[in-house]
Amino acid sequence: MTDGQTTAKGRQSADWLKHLVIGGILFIEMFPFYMMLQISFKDNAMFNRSPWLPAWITSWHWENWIFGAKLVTPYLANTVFISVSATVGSIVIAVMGAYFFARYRMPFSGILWSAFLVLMLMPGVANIVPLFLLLKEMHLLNTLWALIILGVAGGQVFNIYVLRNFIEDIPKDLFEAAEIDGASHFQQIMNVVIPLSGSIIGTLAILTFLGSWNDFLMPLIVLRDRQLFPLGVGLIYLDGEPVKEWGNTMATYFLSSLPLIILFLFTMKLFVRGLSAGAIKG
Amino acid sequence: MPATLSHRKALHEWQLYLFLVPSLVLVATFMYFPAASAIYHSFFDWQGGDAARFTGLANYRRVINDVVLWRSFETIGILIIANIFKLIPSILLAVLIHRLGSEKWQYWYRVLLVLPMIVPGLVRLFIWKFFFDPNFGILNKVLDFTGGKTLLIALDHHFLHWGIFHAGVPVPWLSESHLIIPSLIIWGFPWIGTVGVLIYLAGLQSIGTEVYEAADLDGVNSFQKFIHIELPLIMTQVRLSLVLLIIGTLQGFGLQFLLLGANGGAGGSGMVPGLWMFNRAFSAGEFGYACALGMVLFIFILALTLLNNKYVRVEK
Amino acid sequence: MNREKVMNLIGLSLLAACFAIALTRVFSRTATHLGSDVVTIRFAHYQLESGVRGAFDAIAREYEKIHPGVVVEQMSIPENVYPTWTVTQLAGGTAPDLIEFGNSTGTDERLARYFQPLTEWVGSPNPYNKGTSLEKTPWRQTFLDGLTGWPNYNTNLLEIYGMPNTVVTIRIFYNRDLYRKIIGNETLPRTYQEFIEVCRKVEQDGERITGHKVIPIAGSKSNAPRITESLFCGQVQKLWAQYQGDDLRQANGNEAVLRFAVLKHKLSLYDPAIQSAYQITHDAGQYMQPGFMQLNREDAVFTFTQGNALMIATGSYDTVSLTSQAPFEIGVFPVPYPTKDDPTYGKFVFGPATEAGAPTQGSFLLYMESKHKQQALDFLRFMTSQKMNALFAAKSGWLPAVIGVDVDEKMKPFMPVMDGYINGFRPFWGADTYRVIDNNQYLLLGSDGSVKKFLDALSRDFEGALISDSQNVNKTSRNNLLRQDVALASYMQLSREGAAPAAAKKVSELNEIETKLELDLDDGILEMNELGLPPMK
Repeated sequence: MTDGQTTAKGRQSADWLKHLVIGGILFIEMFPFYMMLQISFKDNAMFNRSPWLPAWITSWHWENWIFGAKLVTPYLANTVFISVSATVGSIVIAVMGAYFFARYRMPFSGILWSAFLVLMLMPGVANIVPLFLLLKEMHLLNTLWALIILGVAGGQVFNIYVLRNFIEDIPKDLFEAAEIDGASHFQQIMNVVIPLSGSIIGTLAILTFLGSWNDFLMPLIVLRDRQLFPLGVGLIYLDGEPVKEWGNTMATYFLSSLPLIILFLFTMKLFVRGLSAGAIKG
Repeated sequence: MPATLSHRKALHEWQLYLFLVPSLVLVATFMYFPAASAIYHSFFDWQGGDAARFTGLANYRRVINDVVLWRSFETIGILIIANIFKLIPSILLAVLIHRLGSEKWQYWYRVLLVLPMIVPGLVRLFIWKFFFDPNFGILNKVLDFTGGKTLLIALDHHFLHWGIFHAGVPVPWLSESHLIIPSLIIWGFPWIGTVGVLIYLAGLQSIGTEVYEAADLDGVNSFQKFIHIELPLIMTQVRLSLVLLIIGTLQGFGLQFLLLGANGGAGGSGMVPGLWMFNRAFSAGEFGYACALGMVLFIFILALTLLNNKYVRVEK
Repeated sequence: MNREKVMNLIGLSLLAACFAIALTRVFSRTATHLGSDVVTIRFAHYQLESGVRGAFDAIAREYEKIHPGVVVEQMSIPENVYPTWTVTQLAGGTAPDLIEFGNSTGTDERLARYFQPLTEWVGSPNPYNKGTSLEKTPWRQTFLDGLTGWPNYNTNLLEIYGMPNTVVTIRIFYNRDLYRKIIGNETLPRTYQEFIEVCRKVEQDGERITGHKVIPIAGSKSNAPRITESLFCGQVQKLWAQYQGDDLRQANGNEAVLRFAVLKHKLSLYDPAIQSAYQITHDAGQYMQPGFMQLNREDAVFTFTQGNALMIATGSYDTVSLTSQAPFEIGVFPVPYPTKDDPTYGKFVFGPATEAGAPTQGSFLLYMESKHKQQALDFLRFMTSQKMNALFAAKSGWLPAVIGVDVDEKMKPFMPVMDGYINGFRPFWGADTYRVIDNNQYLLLGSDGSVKKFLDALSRDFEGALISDSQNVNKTSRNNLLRQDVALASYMQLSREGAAPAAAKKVSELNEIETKLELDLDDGILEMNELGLPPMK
């Protein structure tokens, strides 16, 4: 940056203060996770004696983690199944739908588009009750498919909205060139749309995935069998245990976060860029 | 821009409609149909089974007289105002990060910000619930340690007269009806939301350094820079956050459900409209009445949304 | 490829791998589920106390041993989720075959609608009792209380719905080491006066002797009422007897009489017996932690197990939890009553209440729409047989519900004490009166609470709440009647057509039930009309 010398120096010292404040805020923000981590190695008695500092490594209770792993693995498996299926389904269908709106202005597309837009404004809170009845009529209660279908349906409106704007921005010539080469619409999507919209699809995928991962309300209502529970419901049930060994509980919480942490570590840049970009699109 | 088609071409391209069919079917079945069903069932006394008794406007009349509902609106009003104040730390953090000299640091702080977001919201919530625990929780330990507890006892004794803070007795954050709303407000300290900060940061990026230089030359101090330069430029994002916040808080009840249970906690202090609707349907089994409640809430929120849309022009 | 793309690729392939694993799990599970002739019986409950799940499990395995081809699955639901879970399962039609009785499943409405009455089967002996002393006893009489009341026998619907597993008695648990330290010996208080003496001593000398503050009684919103309600009921024993007339033997008593007495202003909240009852509640509450009404059961348990409280009152079902959590030895004694010559409280009591009426609990209801009703019923018989109930008691540390089950030494102090007098009444008769009392309670308890403050505030709202509750009782009665009408009509039709001979018997049974319901309802309506109030809302 080409700032004047005096201002740069002034900024340097002020920066130090800013770092302190930012660091302080971030520290407090991360504090819950620090606590989660250090408690997960203790048992209740150790925690009562020294709640703040981590215990000596020799006295760590690794069995808390075994308990957590045994508890969480089935839930994680279910959650992965639901989230990935819902995300893939949602994106595929949304791309197709957005393509319809963005490619040509077909007759009735105006009305259909408004139908989608209206849903963006509608608060979904009143739907929970009739959705329950609907799933019952469709014999989908107590199945994972119900959750996947709901995940796919729920993501449509937002995903199509964003994708439509994006696809419209793709230069028409690319499509026309493909068409001249005899490509069907499906091939046009595969060869033109997908390669160009990689980043936006990535962002939407992440958002949909996270949304599905964190959902607990519909699973709580829909599912009966413990083996089907995704993470959210599993944690709620854990919270309802009368006698809580906090070490076990914290280890379980940490293991629940692990998959996302791993995913994040590998796709870090995508996450950050995606979230900021999604932010700008507003 | 999609080209308008000649009728011949449109007919030729009829297959395109097929592309829309899955979306349309899903949305119609799982979003439109339930909405219609909710309206329909709100006129019935429906306990969830196969038989429903038509009762006309009885449910709505009950809604008007429903004390719990109107009290829950009061509660949610308090929470909305609190949440508005809780927007401030995000803005401040964004400004602070933005004003840093080094780009590298800015990038790393953005990464650090995303980190909390990957922990599932549910885990974060349960950890906070743990913090509120009277016997094991951190909040009480901090209060005892820093002497905040003594302060609260004195406050209670001389000023509040609630009779809930006593020496030697752990503070029951989530089971004392007076403390429930404060707990809901305190939750989430330090109240920075990753997405929010990133949005504001993105907005602030567009401010060029020349503006700052000019301001420095004019002898403008930090605070004034904030008010006159930075705030106006992120105003749109702030307004958008505000709108989303208000609508989100109005509908939301997941937080209250997980922290307090389906009855809104001790004395029902944590009951919010969404939770009351959930409670009537899934704890009391009064599905018809719950639909009516849902309808009322829906209209309320819709009205607010439309109002907001008129007032807030979202610039792309 | 640049680093970012490689990283993204690794991340996504990890995800894909996890997905593949998850997929195989899900589908293998579905495969085993579908491809079987196995009959699965599911039973759901919310007893997460230590040992109980293991006990149920043991019973389930025993059943599977003698019935190959049947799998019994236990579903334990946390208490906080139980109401939501039951409503969604019942309304959604996916409920398990057997569900535990609870506040959400035990209402007249829910029972009548979703659960199978068991009355027709309880008259015959339980085949699983063959070879025991109960071989020829009708199933109903094999239980300690004969299933004569709540929760198993519903007095409004006049049917038996629940089959119990345990009986609950209330005791005061105390920390033996601490007791010896502070009191000096282990003489247990047998009267209220002696009990208060103990509490006083703890308050006075506790800190001096042990070096830290000791609370006499660990209280909470669930534990405190164990003591205070007992004491309250004790004070109104004579009052209650007055209103029951000669029919002191009736297990449940007629609370409607009391309700209308209050509404007609024949009985006032300021009646000396009631005032005394609230006074004793206040006095006992002084020895619990300040603000105890806000605390939960876990908080009280924690205070007790950390050695910060000498005593805690709770039910026999908590024995295993407490003994496993506490690093010290625990003893028990029954809640003490004031004696007749107690100067302050003696004049209203008869004496300690009998526990003969202690209801059998932990009951399971049979889901009406169960796909394997007969099998589930058979499992119920198995579970409540003498042998299996003994297994349950042994493994869970709970008291048995079946006659003739031996209890081990540890649990003997908990067995119901049959000697005693009739108990009094608790001062609320419905949701609204409960709420009003609950809201004003802080005026009674707490160091600056007083009976006068409490009663003054209570009398403002009590009558309105009582009217509302009475109206609700009438409304429920009428709904029950309507429901019975439908059943009656269909059975009458069947019997007229001569289709089913059993129908005629059912008709006469239902007529009897209807008559009782009608009488109750008429009484209720009559009383309300006399008061000039609308009988129902």
